[in-house]
Amino acid sequence: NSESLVELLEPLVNGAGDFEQITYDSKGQPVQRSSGHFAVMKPGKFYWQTLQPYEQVLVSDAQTIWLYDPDLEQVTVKTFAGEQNQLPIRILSGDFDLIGKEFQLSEAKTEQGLVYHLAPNSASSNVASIDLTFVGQNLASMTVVDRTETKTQFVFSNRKALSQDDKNKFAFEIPEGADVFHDQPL
Amino acid sequence: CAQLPKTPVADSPGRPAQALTQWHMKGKVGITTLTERVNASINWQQQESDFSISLSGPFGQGRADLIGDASGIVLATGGQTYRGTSAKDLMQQQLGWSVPVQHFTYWAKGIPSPLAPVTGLSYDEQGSLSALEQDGWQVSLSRYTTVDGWQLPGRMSAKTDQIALLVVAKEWLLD
Repeated sequence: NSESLVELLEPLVNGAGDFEQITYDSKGQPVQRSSGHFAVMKPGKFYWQTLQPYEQVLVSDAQTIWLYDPDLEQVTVKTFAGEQNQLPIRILSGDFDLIGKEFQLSEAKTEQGLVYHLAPNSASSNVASIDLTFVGQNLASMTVVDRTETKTQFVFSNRKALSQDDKNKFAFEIPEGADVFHDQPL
Repeated sequence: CAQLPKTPVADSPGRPAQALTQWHMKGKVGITTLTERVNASINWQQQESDFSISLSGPFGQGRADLIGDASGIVLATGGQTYRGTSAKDLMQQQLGWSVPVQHFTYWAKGIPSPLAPVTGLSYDEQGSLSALEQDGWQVSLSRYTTVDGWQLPGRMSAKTDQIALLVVAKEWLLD
């Protein structure tokens, strides 16, 4: 049933909205909280702008990925190909064929909604599990747990179709005077 | 002899933070080596000589926690946890780079580290430390603010020819 999941994820990878991100330590204590705005266009284009507590922007035009930190006035430029194996970037860029290949999929109905539980086939991945919770057709949250049981939960809201303004954001303009670093792909 | 620090002007904001031994700083950090750069939010808690430093990038990626106390050093990164007695060795082995946390604790407060000789001291108009050289690191400090009477830098850069570290402190929480 990974087809039903791919269908359900479709709106995530062609739309915009707000996110809240909470990281919990292995004892379940919240240790990091941030929120912001995102826009995603399959394949490979996305804009992930953290606004609180501090601003940071991650942009991909499917060739290049820019990470801009306005506080540090630094821009890190990476190739999309070099970053493609980063899990969240693969999910955000609609690279769903990995789901069938690399994850065991199970489905459960809970009060929060329909939860797809993804467990990696290979023990070497530092991701222990991913839970995708759908309320109706909408992906309400994504929870990634790593091997030290650190849990990062993304809660999505205010989902809407991509506006032209959203689409314009997929090409990043390096600000005047920023300290730019080009990460050499390995 | 080392240049005598200019006596701070009458209305200088706050006093140098030598005696500040418990603090919590939140902000941003950029670590640039010859081959890679890490940009992350930093959450640093210091209690006497014990420290807990958390880095996290977008998507909760690039999370790294470095904790040091009497029992030793723990580095958690990439979903794994590593223990040791030297923060430098653990970072070098697991991250491929390291920063001198023992000095960083003092530089981040805008004062020289007492653990190594210091040269090249210079001060800004308010009498706050703006530059120094220690242990092969060129350190520059700026954007001082006064927090609970302490003079603390908002921007700290520390460089060698191998690695450049930039910290922007957004918030100081002094209990």
